[in-house]
Amino acid sequence: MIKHPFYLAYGVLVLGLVGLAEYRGWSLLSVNEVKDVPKSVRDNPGAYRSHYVFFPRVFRGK
Amino acid sequence: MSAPAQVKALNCPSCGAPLTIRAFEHTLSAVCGNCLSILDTKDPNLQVLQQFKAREGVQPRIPLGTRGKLRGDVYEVVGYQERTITVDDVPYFWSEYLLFNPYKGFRYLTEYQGHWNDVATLRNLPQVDTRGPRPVATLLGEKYYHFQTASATTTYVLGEFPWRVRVGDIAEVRDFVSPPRMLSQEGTEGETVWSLGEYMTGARVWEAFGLPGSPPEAVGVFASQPSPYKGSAKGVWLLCLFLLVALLAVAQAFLAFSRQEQVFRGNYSFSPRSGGEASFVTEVFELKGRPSSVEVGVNTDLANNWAYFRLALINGDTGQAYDFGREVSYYYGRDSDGAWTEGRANDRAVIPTVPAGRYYLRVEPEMDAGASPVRYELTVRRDVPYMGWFWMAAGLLLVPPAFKSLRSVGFERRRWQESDYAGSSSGSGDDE
Repeated sequence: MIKHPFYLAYGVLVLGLVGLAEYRGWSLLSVNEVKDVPKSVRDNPGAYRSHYVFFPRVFRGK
Repeated sequence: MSAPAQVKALNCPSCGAPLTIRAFEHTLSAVCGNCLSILDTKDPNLQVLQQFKAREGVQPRIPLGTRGKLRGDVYEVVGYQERTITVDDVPYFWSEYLLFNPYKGFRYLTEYQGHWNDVATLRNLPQVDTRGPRPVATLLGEKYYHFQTASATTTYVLGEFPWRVRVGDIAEVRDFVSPPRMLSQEGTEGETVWSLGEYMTGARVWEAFGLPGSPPEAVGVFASQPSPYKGSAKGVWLLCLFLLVALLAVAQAFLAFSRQEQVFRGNYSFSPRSGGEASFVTEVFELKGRPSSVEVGVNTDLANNWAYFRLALINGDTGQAYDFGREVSYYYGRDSDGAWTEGRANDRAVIPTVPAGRYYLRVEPEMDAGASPVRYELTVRRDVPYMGWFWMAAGLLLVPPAFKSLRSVGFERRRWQESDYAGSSSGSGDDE
């Protein structure tokens, strides 16, 4: 280990970042955070316009 | 041990130029640096053995008469020769410096394109095994792998030699390597000499002989050049293994200690043919504790169909929403290759760092207009480990050792490209 201090430091950094990411609950999911969504959404869900832009692909199998 | 060699001054019988003989009683021939006559020093009249022509401006990098300390003993440069091999009509030449110590005898320094070797002749013979695809020489338990066999021609000489040197002398040379050492077998008519060389950097030679300036830059990889990656790549892989085990332990700890608490579960169906408003909201559920990941799972009964879910996790108190979408598709069938499947009927998404609060999901399913109805289940779990980080970390941990191994392999490949085995694997027993 002492022979490769830079790799050891790199490895410890990677482990530390993984631990931090897990503890903080990070993920790679692409989400759009929207603030101040009106409470009326519960009464009229269709009025809410999703800010997430994605065009679904159609899979037709093999 | 630093006693100077016995020196005698003579004059060349051919041109009259002064000659200095440094290893007098051992010297059998000497070269006049003025007229390039090779003289028989055992002959009282210094008979001319040969006179040769050489290209202009041959200057040994270590001048004759220079003294230096090798392996704790002082040696003096008494002779210099250049030898050439021709491969595919391309001549390659290297330099050999003959060193002399009156108590230790002779040894050599060879130089090829900035690579140096400290060479001494051997008294005990190596064992050569020629049974395999590549001959192996064994000396004192160490294996040396055959590198190259070539005919070497002496093309230039200067100074004095303990044999009757001639320009044009040809020797069959077989080299075996075990970096940083190289065994060489030189065969001439009726005589075979083995020598053992050890790689030296130019800087060490310059330091040993106190030479001015800096040594010539080494070009390429020499046969016996020690790999800077040998051993270190193995050490890095061991450390990598240790780090991967530590990563596995961290993953196990998060799996064991994360709450993975299911806070919501609901079953729904969607029929695109029914028309009307497809979107709806779920009942409110509560996320407790520190900000953590939230996993939203979609399990469907899709068969040869797809569905797209626009989802929003909305905090009913603060109005903060996390918008995202998931596409679920599952197809299967059978063709000439047999049964096949594509996609999955379920999916999950992990929303990062969601603070505590009272939440609900806004769901908007979407399918082809004429598609069959789908039934699906939505689940919400909080504090779920995201395994993607661990896979990514494992990949990152593997990068440096893989890079090091690639460089090690590349170094060995460049070494063996110069051998008789270019294009085949080294088979040198290298542990990389």
